[in-house]
Amino acid sequence: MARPHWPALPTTAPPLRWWPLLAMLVASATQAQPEPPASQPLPQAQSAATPSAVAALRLRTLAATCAACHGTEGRALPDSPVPGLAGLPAGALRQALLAFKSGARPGTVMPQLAKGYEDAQLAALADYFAALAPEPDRPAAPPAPKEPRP
Amino acid sequence: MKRRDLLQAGAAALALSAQRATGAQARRARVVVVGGGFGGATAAKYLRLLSGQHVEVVLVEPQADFISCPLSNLVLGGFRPLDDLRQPLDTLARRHGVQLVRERVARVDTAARRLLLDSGTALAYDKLLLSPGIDLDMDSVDGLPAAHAAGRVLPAWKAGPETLALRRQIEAMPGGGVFALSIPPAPYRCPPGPYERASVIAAYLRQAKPRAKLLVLDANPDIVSKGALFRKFWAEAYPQLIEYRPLHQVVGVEARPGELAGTLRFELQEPERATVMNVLPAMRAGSLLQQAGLMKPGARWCEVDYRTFAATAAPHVHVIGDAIQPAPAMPKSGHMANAHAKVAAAAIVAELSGWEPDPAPLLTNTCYSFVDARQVIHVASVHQYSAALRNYQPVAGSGGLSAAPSTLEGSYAWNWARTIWADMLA
Repeated sequence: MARPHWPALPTTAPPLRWWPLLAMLVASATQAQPEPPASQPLPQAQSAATPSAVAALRLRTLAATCAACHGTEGRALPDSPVPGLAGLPAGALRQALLAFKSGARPGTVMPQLAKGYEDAQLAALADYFAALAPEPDRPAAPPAPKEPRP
Repeated sequence: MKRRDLLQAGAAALALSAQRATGAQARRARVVVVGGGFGGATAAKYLRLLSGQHVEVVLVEPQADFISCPLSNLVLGGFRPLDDLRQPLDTLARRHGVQLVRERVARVDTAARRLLLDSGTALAYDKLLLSPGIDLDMDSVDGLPAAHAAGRVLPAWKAGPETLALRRQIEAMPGGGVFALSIPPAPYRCPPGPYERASVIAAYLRQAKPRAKLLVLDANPDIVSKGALFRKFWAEAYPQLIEYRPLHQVVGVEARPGELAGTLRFELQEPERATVMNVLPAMRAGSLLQQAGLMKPGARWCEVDYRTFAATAAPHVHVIGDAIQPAPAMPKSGHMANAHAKVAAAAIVAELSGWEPDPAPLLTNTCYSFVDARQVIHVASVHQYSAALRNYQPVAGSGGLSAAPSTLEGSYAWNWARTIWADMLA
């Protein structure tokens, strides 16, 4: 079986990173809204659902369907024979996904999986991964307490 | 403050000020996750990621390390050490702020929304996500509990010390010995797993004990997964070695002290003698779900609302992974548990935010199986939630199998394993 041809990695990081989405979530959280119920303490709970924030969560969850093979947030492991997706040019990635779906591009698993997605989903995924930095820019997680409170 | 102004300020500062402005008195929502396998570990990480670290996540798992069942058949064949399949869980604490509690759950009180741990500690939750995996129904085979306790019959269907013990039995088998593998009625954990196990052990026996025989005793009417691919490869690579017998339901096992071989008894056929008896008993959802009152009487698997993986029997509880009643054509696999976890985590984050969960979640699955030490076949599928059917359906035209075993897919299989372990744990 022919080895699949993956799009080349871009040489420069795209300008758009995760922060705009976070900013969007936070911005929506601070708009005047009814009092939060006690069982809904997330910051975004202070707001009614904004279409953009809800859509961002859904798109991020859809993109996570790629992570088991391509890495969390599309960042592949070092030496991976399967390419990372974060930071690939959106147009090339969309074309590759549609070519897998149509059968124009050979492969092992990808032609079979791509047929399970709508064209619009593949386009949205291409845009999503293109907007991510190829290298992780992970904010430090707060240290976990030793004992959780009861 | 206007949205435009906020967007012009630094995002990090915004996150802090928003928290102070709105959450000074409010405590953070806490999600307790039970089970550190493919489902639970993935859920713990993605609850943190998808909530922007705003949900407090506690992962309850007695083991310090995750040991992968996928690829553990290679350990039985002697082609990989078990330690290659071991990953520490504490990366979830260091990188993602997940609180790890190394304990067993004694009981779940869904009415009071709390867990009691073995130590007596109580743990309250806003949302509970259970990923308990499977229990092996040892009592479904007469004599199996005793033979298992004596170390004579080892299912080794959860990777760990038992995998190594079964490997030692295989190595100690005399040259003309018989390895018998019995397969329970579907659904069970990892549909192609038993056939991969037969293949990989055959690859070892072909080299090390060419006079040995491998009996596959299947309760099912045919090979459950990748049947044509396994049959073809067995006929070519292991023609005198593997003997496949469908509709052989093992009901009893006998291993007398001091005797090298034991006896397998069947529902219909005459008993069979074997040197190593690798009996896989019937499987069911982890017993914690029974205690928690989440199972229907007599049910083997837990019913969920597939859109969010919310348990149908209690509010604020989600159940994922091998323990759930499978949707049509949905395998009980690590990859599928990883996919459940992401949909459930997103649904929980949405609910805690007062948002509508995704009305049309999507799941993917890819299962790789080794047919010898290096060549691999796959099955892949995509499952779309249907609001009309309130269930997942394989997307028409999607999914499929390998054309033939290949070493290229062998490299993809190893990469899949490393990558999904990182996706859940790193």
